[in-house]
Amino acid sequence: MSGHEHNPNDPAYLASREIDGDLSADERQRLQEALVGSEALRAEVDGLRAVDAVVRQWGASSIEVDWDTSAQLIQAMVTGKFDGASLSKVDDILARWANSAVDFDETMFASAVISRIAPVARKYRLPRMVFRVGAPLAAAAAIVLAVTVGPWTGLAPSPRSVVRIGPAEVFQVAARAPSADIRAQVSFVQSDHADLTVDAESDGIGLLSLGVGGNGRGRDDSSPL
Amino acid sequence: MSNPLEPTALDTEVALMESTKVDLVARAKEGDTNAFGSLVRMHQRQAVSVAFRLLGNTEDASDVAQDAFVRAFRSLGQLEDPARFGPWLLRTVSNLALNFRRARAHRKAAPLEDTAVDAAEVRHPGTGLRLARTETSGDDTLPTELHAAVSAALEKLPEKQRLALILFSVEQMPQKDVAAVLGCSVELVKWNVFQARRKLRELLAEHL
Repeated sequence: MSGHEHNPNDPAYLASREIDGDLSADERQRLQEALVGSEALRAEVDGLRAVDAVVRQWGASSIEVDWDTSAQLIQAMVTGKFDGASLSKVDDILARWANSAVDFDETMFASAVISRIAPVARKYRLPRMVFRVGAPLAAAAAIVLAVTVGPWTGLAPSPRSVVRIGPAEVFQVAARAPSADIRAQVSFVQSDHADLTVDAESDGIGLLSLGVGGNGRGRDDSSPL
Repeated sequence: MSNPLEPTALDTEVALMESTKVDLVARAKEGDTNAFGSLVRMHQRQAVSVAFRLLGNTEDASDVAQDAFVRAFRSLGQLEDPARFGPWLLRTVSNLALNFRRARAHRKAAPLEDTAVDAAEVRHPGTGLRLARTETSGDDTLPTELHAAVSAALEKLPEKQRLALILFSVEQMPQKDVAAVLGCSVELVKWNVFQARRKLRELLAEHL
C-alpha cells in the first residue's frame, strides 16, 4: 500500500491526530504501543509535532485591515451605489495614465488598474474576463500581430504599445511598429454588451481581427468609466 | 458547583449569534443589502485571512475576498442551510483563490515567500484609504528564512492538502467546517492534514 492511500490504522496518522487531541482512548493506547517498539515512529512523531508548530508560527502574521471601509466597499459592489467623491482620485490616476506611453508590461498593469478602479463595472458586467484576461490577451495579440506582420512588410519588428482612454467609455490599447503602415488596435466599450476586438492592418496584408465579446448581467450607471 | 450540561453564558451568546446569522442570511436572500452588509462584517476577517494564506499578499487576498462576497450575494438562493453561510462562503473564497493562483502561475511564478514576510499595504483605489496591511506579530513569528522555506514548502503540497492544513492548523477552523469547504468527509480532512504534515516534514527537514 502506498503511503498516500487512506489508512486509518497507520500509526503515524494516529500520531498526527494525537497532536490535534483527536484520538479515542483505544486509539491512544494503540499509538502508545506502536511508539514503544519503533524508534522511526518516534522520530516521525517528533517531526510531525515540529511541523505543526512551525506551520502555526508561519500563520501568525496578521492582516490589519480597515474592515469598515472594506465592508462598505463590498456592500457598494452589491448595491451598485458608489460614493462619487471617491472617483476624483480615479480621474487623477487615469489622467496621468493616459498621458504616458507604455510598454507591453505596463499595458497589462494598466488593465489591472482599470479593473481595480471600476469595481462595479468589474462585478456587474464582464469584469474579470475583459479587464484581467481580455485586455492583456488582446494587447498581447496585438503585439504578436504587429511583430509577426512587421517582418513581412519590412517594418521594424519592435512595436510600441500605447494605452489611451477615450472620453466616451471607450478604452483603447494600440500597438504599432515605429515606421508604421502597420497598426494593431484593441478597444472595448463598456455597456450592457461588452466587446473586445483587435484589428491589425498592414499594406498588402489586409485586415486581421480577433474579437472577444459577451453580455453583462446588469446595467450600471454609477461609474463614469 | 455548576452543571456542565447547562448552557454557559458563552453558549447562549454563540446560540444567539447563530440565530442572528440565520436571520441575516434569510433577510439577505430577500435582497436586504444591509443584512448582507452585516454578514460581510461578520465574515470578512476570515475570508481575507484564508485568501491571504493561499495567495501570500493582501492585495490579491482583498480582491478575491470581495469577489467572493459579491458572488455569494448573487448565489444566496443556492444556500440551503443558512447556518452554514460561513463554510459556504469560505468554499467560494478558497475556489477563487486557487483559481487565482493557477492563473498567476501561468502568468509568472509568484511564490508565497515573495510577499508573505514583508509588510504590505492595500489602499482603496478611489479614496486612498488604507484597506489592509500585513504585519507580523513579534515573538510568535518565524525568522525570515524559515518563513520563506515554509511558504515554499506549502507551495509544493497538493491543493487539497495545503487547503486542509491552512484552514485547520492556521485558521483553526473546526474539522467539519473544513470538510464543508473542501467538499469531503471529516475523515479525509484529517488524512489530508496528516499527509500535508508528513510532506512538510520531508521538505523542511533541514530546518526542523
